Amino acid sequence: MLTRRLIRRYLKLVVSALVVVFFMIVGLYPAPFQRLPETEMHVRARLKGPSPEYWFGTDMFGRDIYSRVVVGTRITYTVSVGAVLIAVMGGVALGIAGGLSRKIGFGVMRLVDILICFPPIIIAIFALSLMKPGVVPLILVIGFLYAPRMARVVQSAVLEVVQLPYIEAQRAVGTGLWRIVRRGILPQIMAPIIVQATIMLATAMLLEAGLSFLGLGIRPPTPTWGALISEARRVMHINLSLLVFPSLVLSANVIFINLLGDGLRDFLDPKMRRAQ
Amino acid sequence: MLNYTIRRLLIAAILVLVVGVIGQVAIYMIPGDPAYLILGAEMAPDPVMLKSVREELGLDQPLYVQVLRGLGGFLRLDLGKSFQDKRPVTTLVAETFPVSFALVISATLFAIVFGMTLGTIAAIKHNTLIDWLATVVATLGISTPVFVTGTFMIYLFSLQWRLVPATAYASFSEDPASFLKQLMLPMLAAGIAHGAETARMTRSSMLETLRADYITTARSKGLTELAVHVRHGLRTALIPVVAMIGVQFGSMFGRTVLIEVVFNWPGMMSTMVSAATFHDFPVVRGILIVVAGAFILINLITDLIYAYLDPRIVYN
Repeated sequence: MLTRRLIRRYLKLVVSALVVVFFMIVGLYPAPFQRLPETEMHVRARLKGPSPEYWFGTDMFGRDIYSRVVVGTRITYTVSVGAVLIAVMGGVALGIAGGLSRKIGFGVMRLVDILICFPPIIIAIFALSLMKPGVVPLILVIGFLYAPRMARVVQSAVLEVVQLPYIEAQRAVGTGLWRIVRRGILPQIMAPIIVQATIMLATAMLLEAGLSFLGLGIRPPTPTWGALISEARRVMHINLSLLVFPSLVLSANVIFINLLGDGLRDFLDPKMRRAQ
Repeated sequence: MLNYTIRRLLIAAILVLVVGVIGQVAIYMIPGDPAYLILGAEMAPDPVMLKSVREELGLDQPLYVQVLRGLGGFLRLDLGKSFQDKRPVTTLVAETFPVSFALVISATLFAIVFGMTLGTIAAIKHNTLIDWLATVVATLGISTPVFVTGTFMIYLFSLQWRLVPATAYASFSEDPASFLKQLMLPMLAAGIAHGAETARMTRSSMLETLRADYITTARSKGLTELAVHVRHGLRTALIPVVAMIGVQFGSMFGRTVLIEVVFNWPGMMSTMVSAATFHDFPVVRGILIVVAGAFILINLITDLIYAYLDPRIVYN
């Protein structure tokens, strides 16, 4: 029943999930949300503020900022989700290996501890200076940079799970390693993986925006939010719209994804503990 | 304590050497022919250029020779020559490092003061409007990317209110007063973003400490609230925060990259970014090594300070 306690407990999760899913839908199918083609230039209406015709105003080439922001959603989410997927795959593999073998585990822990503190943006700049600009290099670079963080989370989760009696029981019965991992370990570590992946999504989004802002990520005229903000700097003395709206959308996305991560953590944790 | 110091110094020295080696072989970690990658995979470079790049960087030599040459140069403080203007990378670093350093140090100091103050006030006035406001400010500070905050600040302070010049830059030796005035905005932009994280941590650490029994004792002794909170609560609450400051230095370096570009600050980081855009590999690699070295050094210093403050660390 929809008691007030139930609502209060799950409100954060539900609302943030709805918002994030909405943005993802916009990212998958931007066309219905666009009002105008994002590359169409209306030369006579350049650098205008928000109006009924141009919801977010126009940029220096007369392009509709709202439509460009909508299309930018697709690229931003493609890069962020792609990077997180790579980070999860690599991190889970590394983390499970590290959790199961003490030697690998020790090496992984030390290496990851060192790597984690180092600012990823600097390594990303170094790697991207050697690659062609584009979506795929960006996904790969960000994904590889975040895999160690995921590996650390996974490894500590695996170390906890491996102690549990039923894992020992499975080993005693002679269950193969792969089956133990698949049926015994993986389901138990899903919760921290999901929460960490969600938090990483927000960070990846900020990293992508920063790299595109610097001109090392997605190059113009592709409208990613970071690039739009970079363009805005040249014309903000005339019109702030190009700065304000992409920034608002970016911040809103980051805030809601973080809230989703918080909500998921609250949702998954007590359930896991009760299940044990 | 001395043993611990010596151990940490040795580890740091080894790490710096490792960083030097990684700098040499890093280019091989990215799939593709190194000379081709350096020249920019966008256009098809002709064989003559490829050959000259290979010779210049010594890429045609066996790997161990490259690593030894790199390490040798590294120990001689020779980081190669820039592709664009043939100047030694070391000179470039020497010119730009102090600029970045000024920004990093001032921003970190500001962030510490700002963050700790905000966090402490929020913790003391827990569950009041002030706490809520502080939390909102901190959350906004964390979620808004630093280049957005910086750009907004340029708009407000330079364009609208004309308090500070937007992009003119005078170095410290030429015009100290002007340099310091220009340092204000970047320092604020970087410091607020960093301070927001520190504020959140200080607040939770302080909230936890204030629940302890000895705080109740202090209160029941009749001490003023100020004495209770500052003299007893703050000191204990600050230990984990101080530990985190060292760890968080890395993210300050990352922020410095964006801040320098936003404010057109001619520091080491913006040099790295423009070098990366023009595929000037020696500069990018040289600055990466320097940043890694600085990072290791800072971590060493903070580890030693933390060990001094909390002797339990040494015996682990």
